[in-house]
Amino acid sequence: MGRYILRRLLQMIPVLIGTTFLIYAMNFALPGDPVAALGGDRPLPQEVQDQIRERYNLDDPLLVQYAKYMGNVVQGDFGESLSVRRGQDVTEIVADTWPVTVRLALVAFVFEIVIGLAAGVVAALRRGSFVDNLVRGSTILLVSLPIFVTALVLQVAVGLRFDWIPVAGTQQGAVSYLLPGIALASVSLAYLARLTRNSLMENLRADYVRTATAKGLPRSRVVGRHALRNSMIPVVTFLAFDLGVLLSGTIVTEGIFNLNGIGGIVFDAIRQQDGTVVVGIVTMFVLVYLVANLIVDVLYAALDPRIRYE
Amino acid sequence: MRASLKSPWRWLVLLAALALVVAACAEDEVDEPDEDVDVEEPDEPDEEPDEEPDEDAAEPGNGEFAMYLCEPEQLLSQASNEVCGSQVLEELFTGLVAYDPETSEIVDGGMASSIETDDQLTWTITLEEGWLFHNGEEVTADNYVDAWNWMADPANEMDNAFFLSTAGVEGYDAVAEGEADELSGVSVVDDYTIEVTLDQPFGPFELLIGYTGFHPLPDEFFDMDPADFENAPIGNGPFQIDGEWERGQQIVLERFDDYGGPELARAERVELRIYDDVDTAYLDLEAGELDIHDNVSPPLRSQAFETFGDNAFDNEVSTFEYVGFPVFAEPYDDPDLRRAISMAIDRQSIIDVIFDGSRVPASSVIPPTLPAHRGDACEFCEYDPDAAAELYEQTAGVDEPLQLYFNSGAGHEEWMESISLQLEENLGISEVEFTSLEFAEYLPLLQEGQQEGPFRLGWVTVYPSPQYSMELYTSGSPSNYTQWDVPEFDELFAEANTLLPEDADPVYQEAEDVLLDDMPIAPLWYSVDTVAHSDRVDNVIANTRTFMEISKVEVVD
Repeated sequence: MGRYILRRLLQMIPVLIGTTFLIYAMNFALPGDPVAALGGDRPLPQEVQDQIRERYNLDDPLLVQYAKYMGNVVQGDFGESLSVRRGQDVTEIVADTWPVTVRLALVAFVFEIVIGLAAGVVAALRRGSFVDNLVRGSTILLVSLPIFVTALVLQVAVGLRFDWIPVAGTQQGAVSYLLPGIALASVSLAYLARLTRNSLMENLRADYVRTATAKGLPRSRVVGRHALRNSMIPVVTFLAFDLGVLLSGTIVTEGIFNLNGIGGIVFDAIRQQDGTVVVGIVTMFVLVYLVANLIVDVLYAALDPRIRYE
Repeated sequence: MRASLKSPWRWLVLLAALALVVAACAEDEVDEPDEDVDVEEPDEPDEEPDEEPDEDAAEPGNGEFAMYLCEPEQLLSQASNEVCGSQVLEELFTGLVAYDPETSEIVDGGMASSIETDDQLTWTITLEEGWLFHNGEEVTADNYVDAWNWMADPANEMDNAFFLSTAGVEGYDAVAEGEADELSGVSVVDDYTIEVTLDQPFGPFELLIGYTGFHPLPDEFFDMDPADFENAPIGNGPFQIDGEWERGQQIVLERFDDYGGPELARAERVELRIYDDVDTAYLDLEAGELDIHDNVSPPLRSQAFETFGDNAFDNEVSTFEYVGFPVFAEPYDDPDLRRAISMAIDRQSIIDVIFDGSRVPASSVIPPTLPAHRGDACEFCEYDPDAAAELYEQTAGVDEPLQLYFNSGAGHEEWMESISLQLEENLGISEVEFTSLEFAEYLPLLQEGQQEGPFRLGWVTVYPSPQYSMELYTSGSPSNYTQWDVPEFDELFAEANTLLPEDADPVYQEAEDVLLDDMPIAPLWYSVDTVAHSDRVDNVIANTRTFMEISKVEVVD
């Protein structure tokens, strides 16, 4: 297992190099000139534009630009933002905004797991009951509501009514993440509940569950130890993917709740063709996904003894 | 079974621990925002309770309030070319001249005690003595001259270097091209006197040097990394920064008690809360989290007037939007076609329907915020569908489909579409194609003259002179995307530039007449900022340059 993980970690290096190049090339291929747009309706003085193009190597061909960029990256220099936060180091931008996104993601993730899993398990065990119908109905509703609607409803119905729950911003510390966390979790939570319900119901009908019941095991053990564990494989896959999504920031939720997270920065950087910011941050996202995937693969082995890695 | 489980679980725990350590390291680098910021700090009792009620207004009060702010791009006066950063810099710094918040005319309050010239070519600026930077340094002539020299150096990539070339400061070109280190036209006569020589007479100079880009810089600036300075700028204004610029979150201002200006700030402390979304800020205003919001979005404008009553008002600003014509190409080289299109646009109905009344139809290019503005300067800006159709008949007409251009993601889709519908209804132009591009692609397209039809652009008069409102229409101006080139206009404009403001205005107006008769652009509208505030604050004033006069706001509770 140790060797397997090491091998997977080493495999990440070529993947990362490949993705940085792809992202760099795609950003390079975008039409337009980010420097021309820096001054708004009034262009910057030509000399200033020239100086900026030179410092960001914008006049070089793609491969030269990329080589210079990677040369700096190897030395730990991820470059400076060109337009989104002009002149600020990309590492500083990440250190500034990612913690907000991470906190929001964790809060949402906790809501998602606790409520989503519980609802799914209860619904599966009481198939056809009122609870089951309630879960199925409410999850359909949640999945079909766009996040910005959920967010606005929460702001107006909860935030404006209770003084201690802020409508937006992070000024009030941990409680600030409550509403955005719920809003962000709502869709995944509903999806997770349905996934858990279906997966568990299927396993409850499986032969090995009937065998376990026939052996006289108590129901709690049959469900908890046998059925539930096997039902977790698709659930874990979804959760890992979803954590990756959450950690990459969310433009809508961050925007509506005025959280200064990484989603908004990436969105602006893409619009303004801020290459160094896009490449630096998106590469980080790729890394997050790779690690999440690795964890899922290891979890598979933990959940299902038939799966082994050498 | 247990043995086979053990190994993968152990590895999982290890991986999770590793991830936690990495996450913890990342978090350590960022300071948590102050969580115990107490907005409702109890007022300290006034030392002299109401003995001289007449002087009450001028006395610094107590208390603090929170105001909306959009995220600044930069917090360096020499670089800042957008409203969010400039709003903050206007409070952290005081420039050479101050403008009246309503009329834009020069009033007391700037650092210059006199600005003199005989020929508009050589200017002598005398500074008031005794002004201090927030770090205790005295502000002298060197602080201005050093700042301007530093701004002129292209290696520093300062956006506002542009204005040194606008004014034609002698020696700017040499510095820009790297042939000189300092502006030869700027010299320090003594600690409180600056002499500036220009390449040619430039009358609006005294209006120009009140602009953000001409703020002084303390000696300390030149010893530090500009990026560090931006985190906590040291200025000479009525407020100093408390702590650092918390990007995306807030900037806290604190009254500077040694301020050299005529009046100290009236509030002790101001939290400028940074919002991504103006509507979220509005919710916070309703929730009582925010005291002033100076950018209420048009859809919420009427609601704001209902909810906040007398505490809501509109502020007319110079932000101008127009549609330019590619006059260099057929059929737009025909002035009658341009006039017909302009007359076929019903500006007021678009404003009512799409902007919820938050615009003012433009019938000039000199904005209503300037003394030289005339409300009836533009004959062909009046909506007159019959005259427009008649005139259009006499022209060759546009090649259909009509091409319309605008920058995307900035809310221009709806009204551009309305314009196309009005052109269809009034001129019979039925086929229209829209090209919307991100700014980074849009501007280069216009610069290269690839536009084949009317295009949308805007302009803000950042210092109150008609010179700046009209410079973009002169031939050779980098912002003249119509490529309009009429010598009569250029000559009148150049003549007005040599005169002092009081003599220049009629000449600028003559130039404006030439422009609005030939119509290289169709003026559309000027913006209105809707401001709303809570009962906790009073004397909330917005000025013509789109900024709130934060130092004048009083906390009443």
